[in-house]
Amino acid sequence: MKKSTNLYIFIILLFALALRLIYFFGILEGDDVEYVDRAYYISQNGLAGLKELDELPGSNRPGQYLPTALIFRLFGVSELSTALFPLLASLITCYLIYRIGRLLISEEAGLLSALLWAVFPLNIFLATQLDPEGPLTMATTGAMYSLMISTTKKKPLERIGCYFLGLLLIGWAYLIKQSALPIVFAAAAWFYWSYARTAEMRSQLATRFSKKTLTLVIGTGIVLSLAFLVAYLLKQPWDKSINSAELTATDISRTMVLGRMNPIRWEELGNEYYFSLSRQLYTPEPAANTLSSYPAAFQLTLFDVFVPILLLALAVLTLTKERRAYFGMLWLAILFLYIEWGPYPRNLRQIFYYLPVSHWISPDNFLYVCIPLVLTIAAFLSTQLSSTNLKQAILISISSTLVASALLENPVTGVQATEFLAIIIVAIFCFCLIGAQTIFTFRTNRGAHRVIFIVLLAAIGMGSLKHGLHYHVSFFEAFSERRANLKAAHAYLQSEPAYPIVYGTSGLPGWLNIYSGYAYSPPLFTNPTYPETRFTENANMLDESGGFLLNTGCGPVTSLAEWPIKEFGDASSEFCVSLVKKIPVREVNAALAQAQASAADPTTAENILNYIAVAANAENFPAFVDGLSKMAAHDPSDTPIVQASEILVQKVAAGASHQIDLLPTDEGDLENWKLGSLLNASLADEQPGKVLVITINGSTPDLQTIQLPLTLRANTAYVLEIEFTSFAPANLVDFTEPEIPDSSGEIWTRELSWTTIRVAFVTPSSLSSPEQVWLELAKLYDKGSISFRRLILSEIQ
Amino acid sequence: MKMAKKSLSFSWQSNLFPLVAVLLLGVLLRAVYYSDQVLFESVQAAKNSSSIAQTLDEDVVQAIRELRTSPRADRILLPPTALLFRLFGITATSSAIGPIISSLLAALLLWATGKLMFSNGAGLIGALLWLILPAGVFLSTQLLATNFLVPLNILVVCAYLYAKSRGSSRLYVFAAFLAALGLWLHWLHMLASVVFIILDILSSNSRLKNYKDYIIPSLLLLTVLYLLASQTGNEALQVLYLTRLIEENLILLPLIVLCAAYAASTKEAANLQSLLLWFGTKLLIMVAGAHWIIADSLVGTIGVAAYWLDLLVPGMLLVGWALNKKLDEAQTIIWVPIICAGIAVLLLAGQANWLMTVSRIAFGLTLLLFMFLLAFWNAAKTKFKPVGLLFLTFFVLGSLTLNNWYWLSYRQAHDNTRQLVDNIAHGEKATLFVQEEELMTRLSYLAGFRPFPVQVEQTSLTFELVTADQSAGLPAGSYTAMSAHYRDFEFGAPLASWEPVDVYGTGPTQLLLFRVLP
Repeated sequence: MKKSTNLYIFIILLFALALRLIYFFGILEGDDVEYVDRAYYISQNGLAGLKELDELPGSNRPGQYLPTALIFRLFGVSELSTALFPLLASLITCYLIYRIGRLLISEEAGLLSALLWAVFPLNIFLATQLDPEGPLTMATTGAMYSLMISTTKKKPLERIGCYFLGLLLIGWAYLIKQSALPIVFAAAAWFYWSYARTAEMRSQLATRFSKKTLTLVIGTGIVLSLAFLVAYLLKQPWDKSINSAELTATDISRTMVLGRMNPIRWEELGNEYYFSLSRQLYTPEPAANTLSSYPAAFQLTLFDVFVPILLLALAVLTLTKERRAYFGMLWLAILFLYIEWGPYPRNLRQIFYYLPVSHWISPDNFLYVCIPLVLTIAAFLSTQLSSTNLKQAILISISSTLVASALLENPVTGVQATEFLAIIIVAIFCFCLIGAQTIFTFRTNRGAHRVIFIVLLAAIGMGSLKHGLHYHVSFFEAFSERRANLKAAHAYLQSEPAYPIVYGTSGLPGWLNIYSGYAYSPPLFTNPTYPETRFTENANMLDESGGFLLNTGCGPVTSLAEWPIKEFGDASSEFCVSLVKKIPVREVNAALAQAQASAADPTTAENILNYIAVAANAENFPAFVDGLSKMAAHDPSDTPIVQASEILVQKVAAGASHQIDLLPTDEGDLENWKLGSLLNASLADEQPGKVLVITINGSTPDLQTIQLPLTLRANTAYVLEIEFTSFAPANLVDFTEPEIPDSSGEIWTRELSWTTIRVAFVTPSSLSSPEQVWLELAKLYDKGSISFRRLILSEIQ
Repeated sequence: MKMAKKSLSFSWQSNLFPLVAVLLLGVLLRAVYYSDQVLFESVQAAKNSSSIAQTLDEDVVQAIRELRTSPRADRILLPPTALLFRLFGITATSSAIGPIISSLLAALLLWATGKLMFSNGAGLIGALLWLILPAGVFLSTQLLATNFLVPLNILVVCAYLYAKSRGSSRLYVFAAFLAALGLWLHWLHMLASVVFIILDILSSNSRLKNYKDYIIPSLLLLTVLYLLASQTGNEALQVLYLTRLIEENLILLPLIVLCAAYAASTKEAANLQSLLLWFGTKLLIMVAGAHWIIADSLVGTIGVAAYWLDLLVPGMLLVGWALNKKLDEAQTIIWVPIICAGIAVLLLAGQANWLMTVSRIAFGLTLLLFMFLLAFWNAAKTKFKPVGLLFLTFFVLGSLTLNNWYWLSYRQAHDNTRQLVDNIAHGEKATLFVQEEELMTRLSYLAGFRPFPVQVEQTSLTFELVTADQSAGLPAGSYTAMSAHYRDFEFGAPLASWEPVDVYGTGPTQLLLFRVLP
């Protein structure tokens, strides 16, 4: 190997590392938690732990757990140590692909393969999360490389050593994830390719196997295949098989042509899992706006940049008879066809059931198929540039990609950079659709040809960065939000008593445990119990011991017992985390008295919120309302009235209220109301009673308001029940002077049929009691009408 | 480019039978997957044509004035449609016949262009691909300007190439006139063909000939610079992805890439440059003009189908040339009619589920076969004829699945309206009040745009458009209809005095029928 090549591969590996650190993923999604748990367990219990795990369902991937366990043993549990194994695997794969490219095609193709693998989006995002696909790809690539170099070894011992290493790596790949097994077909193809194609080997085959023997072997193969087919057809209904084939046809086959995946979602197959043998037959329904709707918002754009170039590469390499690239193409075809149509028996009993691999896999399973894909593209590009130009192109591509990534991730330049990257992808598409002509006609003009391909290589690097719906990255921000919220919850829990934490169905305690470095408990699959650990399944014990519950979401709370002591994150986000604290029953009264005293003026919002939470925990409703009204006086905008609304509505439903009908009985009553100048009000007689109809004609420059006077008492909870229809867009219920927080929010609505809503509010303690206030019943704009059939104000006693 | 003198002469055995077979398959596909005027734009065009047809009876000059007030692109479709309405009345057939004939004419012109450029077989395969293209089958029954502009577009290029091969100045003038007409009607549609002709003329110039290799890269560079300057990269990407340029041509796209690469690598590249230039110019203009395309009213309904149908014309010729070259002329002439007949038999066997299953699997197999074809091109070369034929068969079969999708999804809205009309047409007379203009236009179309009351079977029917304010005062006994998902403010809530009668369809196209109670 030349020194300069060493330098280039080193630069490419550094570049790959930089990109993976820029787009660091960590422990975010779902499966990785399971792997971390199991690896941690083994790191604590040694190989005995591995044996115990063997008996647990879904724990059959020791090839994945063991290396991580070793890393945990050495560096402890952290997000960085968790990502170390896949990160190393990704970088090693980058090096291996370079070696394979060099062996099969040329030095330049090897360098280009490594560069393309460094920027391959799916690989970047899988490189820092503990999923099996990155390590699996490393093991299968390593196995292929070992088998490939075996054919270059002269000494039998060296050759046997390579075979052994190759088999070992295939075994490791199998132990990482069983779906790696189709690599044996690619390995077999390599042996055929390297041996049977030589004249010497052909003559050996001819002497060793007579035609008769070959006929016998082939005949036996056919008979066995037919027997398998019959057994398979007897075992599985034909319609189910054909339906599976059908779904596969409309599913993954377009991945390699479109670069997009999952046109059929699992959910569409019904409640039964897609791989279930008892599932109903599924035929995709025609979509209503097939031509005008987005192709499919849920589809993943995995290979936007790579697919058109692959198509062009396949075409050019075959047409120019670039034989060195043929094995890469064969390797790609074998893996792709298997993953597309091949069966995946989940266990031996199901060996005769046809379950297409592609039906139940997520896109990450394509990662190891992408090795020959990248090799093929590299083979094509490397034939277009001289060695010197190619090295220049690599440096230009690396620098432009790093600059693009810096601009893309910078909030100031992000929008323009996205626009720029979109142009790059469009240019690549156009080049691939019409560029064939350029490639061939410009062969005579080396200068122009060189420029075109140097620019193309830079474009591939930059275009790979475009934020699309890459694998899992569509949820990256949401997952990151959950991680930040749980880390905040962990920090908060440090200052709280060491009560047990209940783990239910949300899975949050598992995340919390991992983010804290297993500060609360060993992995959850070991069924940890309090008091040995901080986790318990028994929620009933909390009355005695006190405790915490973690919930996802921060919306309305349905009972006082579920009122959170603290919320973490944006309340409107589905990844907001709420923490419920249970105070031991024997301590609750004292805690309430203390919280009440802390909430007395002058005080802080935090003290009042704590008072509300303790009052709710003590199930003391008057104190709860008192807390809310104190908060309404202290800081109306931060009052948790939306969260409290459901509790207040339930109180009204239970009959604990005094009700006032606010609907006017005659036109005279309306004189007390304040209506916008463009509004006309009238009372209509309809069954079962009167209906107040307020119309607005024509478009309006200003919002039109409907206000009515109310006399309210301080420190009191109310629920306003409104039954209405609205043709004009309306925003209901608002108190502006004085400001009283209500649960209706800033929602503009339009309801064509009679709809009932209930709006809760609590009057501030600062209100003089009783006091008249103006309720802004609704704001309207544009033409249409709003009608009210029921307006009941309930004062909760 | 210097072209050999080509002829458009016609031989019964080698031209007529295969061509007729291809055209008959085109007609059959359009009949089986027939959907009435289901797009709002096409119903609107039918309404405008009907209005012109009525005026034509009274005052020809006034009819011309009326035509001049319509959108310019529609002026190519309104006169023939008005004439058809005048002759045969407003029916589903008379509405669809114009676009269907245009689509067949486009296929004929494609064949002629292919024959002029290459050979009879190349044109034949190009015409076959055009006629089976799924979105093409669906759109070619709709009264859309595109259906009439595409043949005009091909005619311009065909006339230019013919003029060039004959050296006829009269034909050049004819081509120029057609190009000017096309630019006047819809400049974005015609621009690529005009640019192609200009570039081809320039590249024929001996002084400029050496620079012809730079045309496509220069155009690509200009497009990129334009996109950068106008900050419309995301829009251009939308045109490629969001509006399904690629997805809906899934089974055609890889084939075009393969054939383009093949065309460029052969020694005959010089003869193919015109075609590649035509295709490239169209693609780049479409991408560069993304923001005009997205702003086009047609895009709201049918994506950019209108534009990419046009784009695919040279692509199909390219595929036609490559397949024909590999099959050889005699094979093409024999096998194309056989494939057409096979597909026709399958289609006539009924729209059974098994056919859809077969075509869905064929769809997947086509893609896989394509991968195989590429990966083992050299090995497959010796067996190309059976492989190529198998490919072509799968390709045609696979397209049936997509046809089914367009056909069913768009037809729902129209069928719901038709069912609604049939349901109320049972008494002596009935009045239906609607509040949506789109629904009203659709109903008027079903009534042949005749003045109300209109006789439907034994019932004297009246459809009337009412405003939301008027909805409270509808006469007892009348009907009113609304869609489940109203779109605009004109639509009011169902009143308590409206008794639900029936519901038609499901999803966004669902219609609700009410009877007004006393």
